[in-house]
Amino acid sequence: MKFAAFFYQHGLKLLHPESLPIDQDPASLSFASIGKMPSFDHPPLDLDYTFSHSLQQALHDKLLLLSELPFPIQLLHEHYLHGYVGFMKSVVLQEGTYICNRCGNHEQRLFAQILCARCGEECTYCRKCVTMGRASECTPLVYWRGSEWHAPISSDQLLVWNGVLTPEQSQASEQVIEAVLGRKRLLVWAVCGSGKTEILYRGIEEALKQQMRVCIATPRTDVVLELEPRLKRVFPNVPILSLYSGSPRTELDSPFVISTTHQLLRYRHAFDVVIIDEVDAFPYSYDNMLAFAVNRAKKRHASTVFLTATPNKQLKKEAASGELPVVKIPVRYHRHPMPVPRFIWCGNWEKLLKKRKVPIVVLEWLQKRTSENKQCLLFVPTVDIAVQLEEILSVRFKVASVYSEDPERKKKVEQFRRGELNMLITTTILERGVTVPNIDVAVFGAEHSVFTESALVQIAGRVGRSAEFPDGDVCFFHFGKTKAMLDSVRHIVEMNQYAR
Amino acid sequence: MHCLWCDRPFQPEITWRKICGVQEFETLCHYCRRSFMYISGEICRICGRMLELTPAKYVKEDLCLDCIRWEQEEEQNWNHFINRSLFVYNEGMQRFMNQFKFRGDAKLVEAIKTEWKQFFQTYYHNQLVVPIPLSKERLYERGFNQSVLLAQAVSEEVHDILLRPFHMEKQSKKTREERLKMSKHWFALKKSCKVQDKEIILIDDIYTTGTTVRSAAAVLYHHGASRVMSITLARAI
Repeated sequence: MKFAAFFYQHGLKLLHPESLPIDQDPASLSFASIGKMPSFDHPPLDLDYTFSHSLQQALHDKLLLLSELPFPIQLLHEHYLHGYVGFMKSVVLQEGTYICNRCGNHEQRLFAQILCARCGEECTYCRKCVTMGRASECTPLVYWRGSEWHAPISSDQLLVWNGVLTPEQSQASEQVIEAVLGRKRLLVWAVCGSGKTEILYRGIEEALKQQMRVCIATPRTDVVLELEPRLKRVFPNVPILSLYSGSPRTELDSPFVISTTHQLLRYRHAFDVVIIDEVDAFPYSYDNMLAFAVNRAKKRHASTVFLTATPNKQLKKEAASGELPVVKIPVRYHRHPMPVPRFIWCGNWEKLLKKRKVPIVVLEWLQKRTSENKQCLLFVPTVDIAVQLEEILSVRFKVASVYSEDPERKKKVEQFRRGELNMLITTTILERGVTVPNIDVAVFGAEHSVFTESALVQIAGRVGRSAEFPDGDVCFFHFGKTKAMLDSVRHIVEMNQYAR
Repeated sequence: MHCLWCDRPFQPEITWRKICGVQEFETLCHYCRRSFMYISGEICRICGRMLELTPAKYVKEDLCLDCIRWEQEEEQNWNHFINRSLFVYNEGMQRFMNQFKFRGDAKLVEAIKTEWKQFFQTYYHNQLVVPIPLSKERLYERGFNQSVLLAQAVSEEVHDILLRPFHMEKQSKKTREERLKMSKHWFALKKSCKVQDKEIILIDDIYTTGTTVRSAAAVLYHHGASRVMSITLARAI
């Protein structure tokens, strides 16, 4: 799609799409990709215009690629001329470097060129967010400029929950409410299993009562899948919308959204409250993108609640300087300390794997769980290892493996949660958010670089989460200790001491 | 280096051949490369399918039952049509195609370029290289034709001489019967293009039932082509 920029009678420089007819002499117009043209204007809102309600519902609070919108360009253009629809360049070249306005990418290696059939020219697109549909120089981003629209909540009774908060949780819960209503920032630094989610309930309820839009953002699909049923149970009258790659497409719009980072890119100035769960858990370099996505998805005056067991350096620094208010919950809700990991040397496991063998100590550990009929998670560094181990172990045990690209991942995790599966081999994808009452956890090859301090703390935090079974074994099988392993133990011991 | 597919940093193996420019550096990390599976061992003489992965009841000597069925279709004169594919269309290849074709990350063609070109060279002796076209609507929607990119990756001269006049539902969502029924008039030769007595290599991304490349081949034979074969990046199991 190409647009022409031309001067309208009110002195505004307006867009006209190439595919629509126009009164002016076409020779006087120059058509170009939106990303390659100079700046353009938006007409003022025409309050007498009867706008399309279905367009409003699809587009308000959003930022979508033209290709994502199931509306004819004619309708969009008309709304643009009356001030209801805004266009934004997605990929632009600024002073010799490309920038993607959809995901904030400015890493030049993640831009590529194609000879584009839409604009007929060499067209640059962003590879970083391409899984969300291709943002390119000739594809505009579209947003709503008309009046706001609120998805209605029909009931007065929002929170249905009889649980009791511990004194620590209560205090944190009060602070969350305060941050939400005061549109402030807050760091909730809580150990794994301290009941972080429960701390949010009242704050979310208050926000929804005030007609605020709330979003829980997390980098991981598994966390969305874990949170969705829990929140739906306690907010039975709120149509909660959960968004992740492959989530069912729905026209439903809700004041309460649970979303992965990527999906958040489709929002703009939408939320009064953004709660970032597992804020440090960004795989690889996605932290920049998440910060970008969150910043744009929230309203200008919004509250941001960071929720984590293992804050990163930046957050710790801001908290220490007093810039970011912080509330700490060092103790689990059942008041038992976090289990401290044990280290067990298991020799050169990589070499053994090549011979299709597993270190004896690991086998013994697994055998013990099997004979006690206790569920266990075995964390491994890579997908390859997960698959190999499953092959080798399945001769002796009933076992499954999951990894992020596993098509049956959702199903297997669900089976494990329900107790139909006793042993699950997993990559670090399950290090967060998975709550199973009575399990033991082992890390296979704990010296691998994917197992950072925070990953190991999170993994240890899978154990002993219920009051009935507050203990459990956390075992790091390794071929040489790393600093991350030692730091994770120190982290847990310190939190346990602080709690006393 | 960053992996062209997953963008994770990786350390490519350094050899003298690569430093001297005789051999290309890998563009994919170890893990991403391992998700592909090359077609190897015994293959179906006609469609290039890996016989080891084909259930024994669908194999007869060096042919698969699909091909035997094709060859029995009376009205077609297949003139030794064959297909060859580089990769098995396994789960890893499906993810690759999803990113490359459906999400539209055209750059990914470079990830398989070296192997793909080598593979192509083993069958190339100056035939016309013809990509399978997309309908106008699909081309606009996708922004590029993956088969043209695959053809350009292996050959300087690409002859985009076929047309796909009708816009249809995505192939990948159809059953074999549905595909066969509708395949008769999928393609046409562009006006003023001649293929009389020419040898042709068709390029496509995936060979599933073979209907697509075979209906394109039928059009070319109809216009007098002497011999047509197809090369696809992947072959469905």
